[in-house]
Amino acid sequence: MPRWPVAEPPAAPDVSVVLIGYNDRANLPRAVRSVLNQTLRNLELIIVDDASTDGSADLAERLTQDDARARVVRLPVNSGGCSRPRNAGIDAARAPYVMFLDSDDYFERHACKNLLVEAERTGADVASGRVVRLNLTKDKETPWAKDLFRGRAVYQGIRENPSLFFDPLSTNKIFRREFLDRYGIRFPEGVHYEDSLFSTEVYCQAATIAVIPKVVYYWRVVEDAEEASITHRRHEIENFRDRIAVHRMMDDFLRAHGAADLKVHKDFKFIRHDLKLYLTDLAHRDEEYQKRFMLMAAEYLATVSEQTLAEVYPLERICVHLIRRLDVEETLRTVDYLRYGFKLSTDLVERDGRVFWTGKYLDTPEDRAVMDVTEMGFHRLPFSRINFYNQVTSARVDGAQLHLEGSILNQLRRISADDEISLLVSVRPRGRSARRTLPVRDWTFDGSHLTYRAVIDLNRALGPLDQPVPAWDLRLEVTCNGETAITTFSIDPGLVSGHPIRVRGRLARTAPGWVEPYVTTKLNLSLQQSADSKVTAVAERVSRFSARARGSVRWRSSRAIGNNSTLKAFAYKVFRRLPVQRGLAVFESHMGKQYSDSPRYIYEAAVAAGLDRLGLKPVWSYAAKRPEGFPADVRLVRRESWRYHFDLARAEFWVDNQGLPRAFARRRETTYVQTWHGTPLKRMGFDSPALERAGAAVRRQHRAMMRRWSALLVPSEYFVETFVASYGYEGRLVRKGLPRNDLLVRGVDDDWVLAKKRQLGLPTDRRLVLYCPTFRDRARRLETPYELPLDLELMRRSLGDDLFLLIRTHYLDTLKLSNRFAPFAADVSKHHDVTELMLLADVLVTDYSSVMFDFANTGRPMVFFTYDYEDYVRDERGTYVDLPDIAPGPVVGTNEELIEALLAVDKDVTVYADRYDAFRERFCTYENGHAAEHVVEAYLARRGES
Amino acid sequence: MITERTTHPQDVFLVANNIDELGGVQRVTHNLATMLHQRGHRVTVVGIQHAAEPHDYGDRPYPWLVLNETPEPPAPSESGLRGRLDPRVRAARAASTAARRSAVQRLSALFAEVEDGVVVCMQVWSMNWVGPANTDHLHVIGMSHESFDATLGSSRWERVQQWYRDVDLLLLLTEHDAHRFELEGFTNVGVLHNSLSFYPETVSDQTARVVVAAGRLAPEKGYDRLISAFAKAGAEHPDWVLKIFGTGPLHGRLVKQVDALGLGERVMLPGLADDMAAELTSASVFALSSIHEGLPMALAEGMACGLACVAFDCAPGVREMVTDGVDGVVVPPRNVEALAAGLSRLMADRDLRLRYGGAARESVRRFAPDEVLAAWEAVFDLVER
Repeated sequence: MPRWPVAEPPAAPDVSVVLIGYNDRANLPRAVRSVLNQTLRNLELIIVDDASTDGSADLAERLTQDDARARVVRLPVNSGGCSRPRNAGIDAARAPYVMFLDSDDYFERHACKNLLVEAERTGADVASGRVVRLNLTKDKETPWAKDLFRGRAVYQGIRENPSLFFDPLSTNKIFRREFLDRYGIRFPEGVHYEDSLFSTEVYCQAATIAVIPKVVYYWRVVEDAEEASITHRRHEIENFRDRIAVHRMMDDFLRAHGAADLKVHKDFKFIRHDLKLYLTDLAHRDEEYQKRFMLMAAEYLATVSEQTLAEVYPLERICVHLIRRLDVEETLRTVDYLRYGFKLSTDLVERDGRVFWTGKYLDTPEDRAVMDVTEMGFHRLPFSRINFYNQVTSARVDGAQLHLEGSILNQLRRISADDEISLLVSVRPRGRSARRTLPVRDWTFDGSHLTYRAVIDLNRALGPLDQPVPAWDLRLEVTCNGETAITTFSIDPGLVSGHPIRVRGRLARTAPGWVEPYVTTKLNLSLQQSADSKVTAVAERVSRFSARARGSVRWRSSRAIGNNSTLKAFAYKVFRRLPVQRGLAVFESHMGKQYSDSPRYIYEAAVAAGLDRLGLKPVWSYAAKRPEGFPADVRLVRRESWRYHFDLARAEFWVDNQGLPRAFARRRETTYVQTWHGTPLKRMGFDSPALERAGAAVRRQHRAMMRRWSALLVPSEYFVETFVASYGYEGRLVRKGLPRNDLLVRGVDDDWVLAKKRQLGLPTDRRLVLYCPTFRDRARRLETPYELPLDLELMRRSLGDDLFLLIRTHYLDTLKLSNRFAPFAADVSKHHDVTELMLLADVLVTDYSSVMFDFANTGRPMVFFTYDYEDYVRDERGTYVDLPDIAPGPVVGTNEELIEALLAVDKDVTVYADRYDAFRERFCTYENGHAAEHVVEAYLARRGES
Repeated sequence: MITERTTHPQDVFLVANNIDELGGVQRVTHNLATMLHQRGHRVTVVGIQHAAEPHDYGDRPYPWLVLNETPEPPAPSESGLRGRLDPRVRAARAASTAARRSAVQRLSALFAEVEDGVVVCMQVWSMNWVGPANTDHLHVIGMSHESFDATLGSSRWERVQQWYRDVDLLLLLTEHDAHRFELEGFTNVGVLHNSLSFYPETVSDQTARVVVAAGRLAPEKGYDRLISAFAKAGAEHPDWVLKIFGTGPLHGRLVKQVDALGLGERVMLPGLADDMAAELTSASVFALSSIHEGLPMALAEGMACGLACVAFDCAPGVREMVTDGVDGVVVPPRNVEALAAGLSRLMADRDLRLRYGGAARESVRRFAPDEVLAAWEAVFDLVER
């Protein structure tokens, strides 16, 4: 219901919205609604129709006839761009502030009000807000220039933040009308990318620029559609010419207005953003396009200063130099790396201890300096982490067989003729981890290339066709002396015909299906299910129906009968009346999620002591759908399953580090060894406000859970004072340390370390820094993804020569580590056991995680990176001790300080020696390296027949 | 205090979970209602249900009502087959739904009595009724009186997501909290402080050698640390005393601590003050020793009375209120030594106290009742624009 009285237009609107459209009947109503439904009601809407031929203008009249705030301006002749309609809109506008909207996009509900209030509050000439790009083709949302919109900001001119150039849109902003008039700023007619020039003028003239972190604009993007809007017609060379033309106009403007110093920043954005867009597409274009593109780009890049080139990534710099030399082939190789999944299609050259991007252009010292990529560390990558370039030279389909020929570039000559080499094709349904493999036996090696012929029988390789994502990714795995590198099949789209291939794969493979090869956006060969004939359409319906039926049957059985928790609880009571099964021991770690921590080391100590001698029958509980990472020779039981109830009811021993489900009361004959998963820094249990507030019933439940424990393992008196006291646990304490720390105390031999590094694909020539941030529980319920607080680029530059970074985030935080950092850092979050990682690490970097109390057992240095100390420590839980008071190593708050601390880590060892000793004394008091053996002998062996 | 009547009287509904409990939100609600009423706005205060232990707020000059005289029957939690088939469960669910529908209708009828105006939901739970009611002709403003983290860690987060994304304006207590909501995609957030209950004409003349603190005697207020710090600082300034106003579970323990330190003469725990403004103006230094705070209004009251304050840097709200070295002393949280040093510095220097006290009074001017009222009227204008 419109809230504005419709009879009269507002006497003095606060904001004029200029909505422009051309032949866009489909989208216009949405855009109009988004303005008229703004929570700012005192606005006017000026719809400028650029002489549409589809009746858009009449539609606009109809859409707004009930609302006196809107009017329609019809241009007599089509202008072919956005500038003239917008300028006409400005001329018609009556409000002190102007905003712009395109007919295919729309405003956020509060956009006008939020921008207006901020502009009024700050007196800014221009205020901008966050943009969300809606990719309609891929159906996903991406934020746009998001670094600019992290917080509210007010800049006195663009020089306070030149990265504003990364946001040249005119549609996410509010402009002060008087400001536009005073400087005569209008959209340039007859030019595409009018926004870039317009916003350059605005940014340069504005005395005050405000930014708000609220979303104001939804930018709808249709990829590769017939009606692709102007900004996305990148395949036409004219489009690039327009882009260059507007950049020249921007340069002219800057020069004419005494702002030539800003060209450095504007060019930085040109290389990082504009050039990148076109380079990404360059491989798909014909030779004529490529040639003209190179000429135009080279001509413009000649105006880019060394100052800009010093700021961009080394490979962007190389790319600029190769374009200036008009070398298409080499340029495309940099694009392979920069844009297509870091593929190394270039042939790196090692010379005099340095590594160069290519063997060409190494004649002068200046050229060599540009092409030198030694610091990127390719030569130090372990074999398994090299992105070997595998190019398909021929692809042929024969029946259901896919014949592939191609060659792998022997990057840095890491493969030699006398190595033990084997090749394997793997096919993996997208989004799944299980893969099917086929050996490739037909290959030859000539020193520089490994050439292969592979035949893939799709009937066997694809498996069932009905996958959640009906696509399959192909890989070629190269194993060389036991280490495996994984390559994708890079392919020229011209080699793929896309004809459907008939394969068996439906209804237990009795019915056929169709798949077709296609080329992914990263130019890799993949397969997808194809839209298919009548026969298979029927088969598909049948198999979909059967899948649904299966699902519903499973649902019924699991909810109503099979998984009825009341029934299970009752059954548990019955099972408990059965005699105890002597020696049956249920192990569980982190509620079944891992094979790790103290339960693991107790189990391993028991195995070492001889399960038979102890009379022990171990069972491991797992929580995932499929157990992964558990030992092969032990019986597994799924958590909360019937068997789990049966086992827990009859077990003689329970070993756990967190808490078995509350419903399981312990019978008198069962011994429950609770190892707990670490020493707390944060307040726990009844010390925490959450439990203080919770009702008496919850506290009673907690007490009941703890009363089940027969023994609690204790690493220190601090643990007794904090954890034990906070939960009011009064049972038996075992002051012998934690089994998970045994190896950390005792140490491991170098061979083990070397083998483990090999197994995990970690470098052996550099010191390993383990980064273990604690889980921020406040973030759990937010949609914002985890963001690594490390500045990896800065760290790589300063530390990459000597250090390699292992990053282990909490399992609930997923990390996306750019492949760009592969030579410097690895994500080891999936590795079950953090103890193993601590054994490998030379230095630990953490914030507040309890790993600090474990790692202290190694005596190796620690650095505390507490970038959000204020927030973390002051939330409502609080900590038992203040980290700066106890830290046995430097406590730093910024990336720069962290780097300094890591550089000085050896020197600091003596500085912190006393604090380190005090730390160990306080928090690792009882650790002696034999906790697991003690537990086995004192508890698990108690009734064993020795 | 508020004499001038508005020229644009508004219809305003203030809706809280209940309006008769002895609690912070209820106090804020009635204070706000009184201020708006005095300005000439037509205020109605609505509680969804009665408090478990009602408190007598006396005669109110504005209408107030309780939507549900008896609590609504809870919806049964049984799901699955039993939830669908068991007639008792079905009947209970139907009764619960009917009760809710009827309550929402009563609320809609109440709202329909006015042509336009504003509904302010003091707490998100009440959105369960305001949300479904007909508010097309009204502006709906949501409020949250706790920190973002506290909301996030509670069951209220789901309701905040469900209801507060769509309200015309969501008001938070601090800029910090507002920004956290912004980062979660809330585009409708704004900031509005709670009001002080007084902003006295006369202020402390900084002659009384009294340090004062006020709040519940509970662990999170950190009074044990304050007493330790006072013992240290007071050793050099033997003519100073400390008064901690308030009641609470730690009373006995604090008395014991005072006795053990031999400070029985100099540290007083007088309970609740009858006239807090008078107590504050007759002191010189205000101490905030809390471990956690939202936006500590007790501190603001001390500042309004021209006291020089020393505070633990325990919450973003403290830093929004005090600027170290300008209008008070801010020391690292839980650090007794630093707190003692801060107290000592203020005790030794009357000129410094006068300077800080004067600046403090100005800096909390924005929490004064008339300022907060003006902010509310600006909010009414904003939603109306």
